[in-house]
Amino acid sequence: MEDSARAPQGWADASAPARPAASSPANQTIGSSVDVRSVTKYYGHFRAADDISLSVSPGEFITLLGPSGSGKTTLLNLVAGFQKIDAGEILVDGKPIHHVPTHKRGFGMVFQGYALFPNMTVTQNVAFPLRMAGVDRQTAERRVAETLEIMRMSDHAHKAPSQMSGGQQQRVAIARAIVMRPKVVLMDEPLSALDRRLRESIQIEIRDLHQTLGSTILFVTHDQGEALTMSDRIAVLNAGHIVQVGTPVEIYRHPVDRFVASFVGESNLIEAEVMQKRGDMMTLRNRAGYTFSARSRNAIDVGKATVLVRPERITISNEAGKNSIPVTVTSALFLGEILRIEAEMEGGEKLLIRCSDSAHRGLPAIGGTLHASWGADDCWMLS
Amino acid sequence: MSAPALDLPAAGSRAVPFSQRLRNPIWLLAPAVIFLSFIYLVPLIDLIRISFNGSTPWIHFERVFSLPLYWDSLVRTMGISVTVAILCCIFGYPTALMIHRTRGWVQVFVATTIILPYFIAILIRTYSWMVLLGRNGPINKLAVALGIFDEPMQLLFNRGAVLLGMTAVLLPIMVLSIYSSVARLDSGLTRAAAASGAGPIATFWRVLLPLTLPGAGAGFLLVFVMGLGFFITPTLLGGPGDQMFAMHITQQANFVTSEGFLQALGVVLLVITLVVVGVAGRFLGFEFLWGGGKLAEAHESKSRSGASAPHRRTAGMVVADTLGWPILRALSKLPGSVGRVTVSAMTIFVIATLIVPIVAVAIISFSHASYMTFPPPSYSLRWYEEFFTDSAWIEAFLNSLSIAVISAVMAVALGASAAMGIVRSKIVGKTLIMLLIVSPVIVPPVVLGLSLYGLYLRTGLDGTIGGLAAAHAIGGLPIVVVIVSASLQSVSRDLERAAAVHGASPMTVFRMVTLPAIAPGLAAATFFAFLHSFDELVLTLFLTGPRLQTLPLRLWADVNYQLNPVLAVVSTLEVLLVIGGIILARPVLARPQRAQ
Amino acid sequence: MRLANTMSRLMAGVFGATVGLAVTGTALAQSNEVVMQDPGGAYGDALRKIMYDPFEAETGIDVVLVQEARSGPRIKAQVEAGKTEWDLTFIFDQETKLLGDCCLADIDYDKLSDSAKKTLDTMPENLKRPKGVALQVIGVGMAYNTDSYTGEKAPQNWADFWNVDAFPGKRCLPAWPRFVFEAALMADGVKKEELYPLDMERALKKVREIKPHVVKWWTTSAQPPQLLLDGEADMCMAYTGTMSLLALEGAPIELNWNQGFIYYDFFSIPKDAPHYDNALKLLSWRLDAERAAELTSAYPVALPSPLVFEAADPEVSRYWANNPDNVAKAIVWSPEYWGAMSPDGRTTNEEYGQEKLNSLLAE
Repeated sequence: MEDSARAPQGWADASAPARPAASSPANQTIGSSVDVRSVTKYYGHFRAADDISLSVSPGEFITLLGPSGSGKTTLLNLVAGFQKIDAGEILVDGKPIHHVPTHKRGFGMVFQGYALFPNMTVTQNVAFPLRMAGVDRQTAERRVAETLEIMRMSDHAHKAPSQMSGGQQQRVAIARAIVMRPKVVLMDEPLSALDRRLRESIQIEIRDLHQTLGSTILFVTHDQGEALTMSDRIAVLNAGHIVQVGTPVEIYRHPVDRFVASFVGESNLIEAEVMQKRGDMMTLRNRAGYTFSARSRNAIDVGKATVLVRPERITISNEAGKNSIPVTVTSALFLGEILRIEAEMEGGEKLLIRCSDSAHRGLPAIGGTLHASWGADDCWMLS
Repeated sequence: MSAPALDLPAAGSRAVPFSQRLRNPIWLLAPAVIFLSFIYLVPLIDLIRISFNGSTPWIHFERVFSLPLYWDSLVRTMGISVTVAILCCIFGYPTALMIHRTRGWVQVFVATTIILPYFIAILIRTYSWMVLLGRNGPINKLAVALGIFDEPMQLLFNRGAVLLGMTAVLLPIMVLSIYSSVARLDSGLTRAAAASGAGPIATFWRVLLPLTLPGAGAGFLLVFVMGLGFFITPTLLGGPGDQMFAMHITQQANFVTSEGFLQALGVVLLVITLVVVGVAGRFLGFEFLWGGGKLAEAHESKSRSGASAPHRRTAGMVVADTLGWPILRALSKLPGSVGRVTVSAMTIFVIATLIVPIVAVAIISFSHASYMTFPPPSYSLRWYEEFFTDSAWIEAFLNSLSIAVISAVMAVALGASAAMGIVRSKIVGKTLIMLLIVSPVIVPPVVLGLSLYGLYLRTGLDGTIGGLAAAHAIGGLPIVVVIVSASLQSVSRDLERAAAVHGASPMTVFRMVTLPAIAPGLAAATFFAFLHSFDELVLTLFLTGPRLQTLPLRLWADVNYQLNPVLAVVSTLEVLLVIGGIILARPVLARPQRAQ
Repeated sequence: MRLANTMSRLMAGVFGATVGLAVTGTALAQSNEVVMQDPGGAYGDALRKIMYDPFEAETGIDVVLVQEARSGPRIKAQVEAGKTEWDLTFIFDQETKLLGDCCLADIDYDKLSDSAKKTLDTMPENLKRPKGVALQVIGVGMAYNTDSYTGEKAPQNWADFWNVDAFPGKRCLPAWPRFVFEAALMADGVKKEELYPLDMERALKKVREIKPHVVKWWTTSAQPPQLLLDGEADMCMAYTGTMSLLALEGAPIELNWNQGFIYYDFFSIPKDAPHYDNALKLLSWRLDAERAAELTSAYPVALPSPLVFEAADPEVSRYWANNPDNVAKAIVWSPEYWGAMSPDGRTTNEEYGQEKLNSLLAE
């Protein structure tokens, strides 16, 4: 069990002397499946993780998304083995690992603050996991060189961590995490300390790396944009629970509740009453008395409902049309490619609108009236 | 604070009027430098002068180095100091890690048990070991009761007792030194190591130890250098085979004909201390003396030197490949609890050695018996009564109190001013000035006392409260400067500039912004300077006069004369004073943490 | 600037206070008192009660005590610095010569009280020197635990002390060359008349023999009694004063004066002593035979005068160092030898011997 948990077999094969330098970066690891089953973790009386279950398929890139204190880092730490679970079990490739100490789990991990060993050079940092695994010095040096090549850090191989920028340090940290070609890589908000531009470029790099390596990646972030960009699937956490698991598209389009809807992307949550239901089409009336139609794929009874309409789904016009609702503009911002308009419906309910500039020349006047409308397919009914 | 004149280019400074130039914070250094020159440097120079007074200049030194007695003693002193430093390292490391890793009340408890003894007089801590190890002491009683010994054993007056006593006395310095570097570490590093497949021992060896080595090194040096000048502990706990060099100085001071030779002994001890510090400072940076970190730079230079020969295969690498890594990997197979259990067990042992003596003495202070025995046959307050009704004890206590108050005021006035000067001025050679101010910490107190003795006799300062206070302030000054500089450095210059921009005069800026920010540091510094003086014995032994008895002096006389329970009372009262001081100071000391 | 000003004013204040205190200290020295060296401990307590308290009550002169075992170097330093602080000190016999010329004042014997003169008349001439009066006879002898050694099994001389086969048990000895070297030589068979000048090498060889059996090389007078009482040592070379006090109190301790040592502490007035006249008054007070006898009964360190000896209870005085019976058994210890320069001319014999002994003990 110990050996399987260390999971360097794929690598061990590659490092066998019989196959000199054959290991191109392309030689792919098949990631492990990770099963979290009813895991609970207490801090005192506080339930940081409350009966969490999550199934991660081999090679999947899954993001744990949630606000601070939601339990996402706790869950990652439990998987990493930094903390002991109080109940439940964690399985990797079907084998329980929650009693295995961190250093025998054979994962790679990237930390928020990089956590590069300041007493070692870049090479030594990246070689560290190899040396701990018993890879001989020569092979290790070659592996390190290859991995640094992938991370485009070869020029910095002999620098001390303190001599590099944040982005460079994080690349080294990633190199250290993947140098063993681990079947599971854990990433704890690895990009949060970087500036936006750098963050976006490394996001893409990590995404590509995942494609290349094939490892299973558990990625923790509080940035929903990052989650949407990178993940195969997203697990949204709140207050120690997993609220929803799904692909980015599912999460964005079909959030299960108000929390997910408002945490992932900008949203308009319109309180309305279901007037009429015919098939999957229904007619709703908002508080100000305007009616609109919506198509619902989720079962909704007649009565009160919350309707999610994403701001970019709303179109505006100077004239009233079918299903349109008059709104008063309270603020309008020019953001370059789009306009961001905040408006109020009658009765004071707020409406956020994002639309391209081409649809509407110039910014609307504050206090002016516009007519907002959306299609029936743009609505998502929340229970 | 910073007058605009300061920011002018150097060329313009000639035109700056005198009154403007006086605003330069450099002048704040003057009082401390003048004070130390007169009361510290000049006497030391005089000591060196006298040591060359003889039929030939080197005659006294020839005697020191020609007699095996002194040479052996020198070697022995070094040996004991190194051993103590190693022991402190071995036991200090897990303790520092424990403080770092534990949380909540456990952390507070461990930290308190380490820090509390740091503030209790060396004499009292040594005395408590005499009680503990005595024939009728708790250890013997327990061992006999458990059947380990057939009869009470002679545990005192041997090398083991000296090493134990000195290690216990110096351990807090080591723990604090290591802890300061452990606490600076990113906690992610140990996790990163674990995630990279390193077990607890490999993590310690490859990551924790190399990174905290500067802190441990600084602690090692401080302990070693302080050990060199030790006098009280080996005198009380050692046998004739454990004579340390400082003890020869006090013994020689008993001979009428020893002038010159006595000073030569002092100079030898001084020079050895300075050489050790000098060599260490050359490699480590002298910052280790005042706890400043050269950590980052040290790493950079180290890794840079590593970068110069990236591909050369050294013998070290071969050893690491064949032995080091396989061993580390093998050790990584041990269950993780092994490291935790080891650290906890050693910490418990350390806490026991630091706290048990104090507790045992506190219990004995309530003994009804007129002799020292443990456990006391019956309990009473008679020895407390004895202490409080004995005018001599009370007078000694009041003398110590006045000396300590005056000494603390002097040290804080001079030290705070010097700290401002050091932090705020742009003077070249700051390290040198800092070195001068902090150096009294490393000069063996016996040597300092010897050098001051002549000066004090000539000026009539000996045996005066003011004179002793001034002598104690020599050692109090470094404490104040280090603490106040640290808190000054944490005051944002922007805050001061903001006040100045909004119209505050330099004095107002100081009063409204700087002073409140450094107030906790000042309070702590005052308390420590007070305790330093209150506990001071060795200088006082040299400089006291017929009328002036201090608490440590009386204790010293009584410890040498007869161990009686009144001493336990005095010890317990001092411990209570320190605890009380810490409790009183805590709200002030804790403030900066809360602010963050 | 203003800060610097405030600081320097503060500094001036502190220095002012220091100087002020120093001045006050000097001023105090002019007041009506006498500064006296004190041995401390039980002897000190007895002195305070029997000598100093009545003295203060009668004369109005405060007796300020300085606890110090050995005053020689301090006196020298004080006199040389021109800041004599002490008025009356006791000086080891072997140091009187070394200090006499440089540091001690002549005692004006005419100014002493009549009762003091009466006592002095009974004292041998060599104990009444121009610069010192022998005020206490000190005995150093063999003390042993009577539970360990009884009857014929009691040790009789230093040869017995060294004979650990016949007298098994732990020993304690002072950590000084004086007395120890003499005892070692006698144990080695040297006749007591032929001791001086000492054969130090021979003595050291003999000391090396007993070293493994010495549980403690003591440095203060309080240690040997404690060691005997605690059972840590069975036989000690010790000051007879405290030991006899304990024996009188019924402790299982007995003293053997055979081959013991008797010497005198000389009371001297340092040069330029601030209260010379008061020192003479206190000296007179202490030389009063009646009071001296009372003191000696409380603590058995005697004034070397038959007057005092005769005034005392024989049960008590049998332990005194100046008891003729004891004197007859003891050896005449030579302060001259120990105060003389050593063969290498660099130090006194005492210092020389101390270094030798230290080296041996450190092995």
